[in-house]
Amino acid sequence: MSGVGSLLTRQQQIAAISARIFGRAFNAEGKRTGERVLRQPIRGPEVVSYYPPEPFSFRELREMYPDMELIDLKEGARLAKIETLRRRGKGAPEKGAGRRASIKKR
Amino acid sequence: MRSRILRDQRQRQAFASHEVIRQVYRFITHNETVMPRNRYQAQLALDQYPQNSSSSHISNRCIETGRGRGVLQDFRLCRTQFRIKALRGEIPGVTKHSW
Repeated sequence: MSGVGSLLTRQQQIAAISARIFGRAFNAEGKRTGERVLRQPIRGPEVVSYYPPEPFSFRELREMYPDMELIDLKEGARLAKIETLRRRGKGAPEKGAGRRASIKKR
Repeated sequence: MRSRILRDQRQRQAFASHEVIRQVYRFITHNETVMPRNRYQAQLALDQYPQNSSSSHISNRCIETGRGRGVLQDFRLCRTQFRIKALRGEIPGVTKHSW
């Protein structure tokens, strides 16, 4: 420390000694040590929890209680609607049988 | 708009999973007492990380509609949803002002 001390001004010497006494870092040249980065808090958990958790789906409910034989009324209604449309010939085409798919084949 | 929420959520998870290691690399690149060669290596390592894991790729969207603009950060809602909910009295402590 005495070798370095001779190169420093009196004010810097005092700063160096006070840093040694109080256990602080002494940075005579004012170099950037990246302390700023280390002081930044970890934001990950806070950032991830921005959106509220999704309400669980019917499928998950069924998996939670496998022995209760739950019936998804919405899904049943959807399938019934598709069935009636199909019977009237107004349903959506099967996969690969649509207009777009037949264009690509040519 | 729902897909935007899902995309943003993915980015948030990517950010959280890489955050600590990225912070270490950033510390090395910002540290002038480290050898320049090592600092450069740390910078290169940082570039190798997925772009998604950067904090600047995260955007605060409306949690109801997924709208990206006009979002009130305190309530995480876009301006229209904020108005609707506030008038319904669903946001605690918010009342319509009149004077």
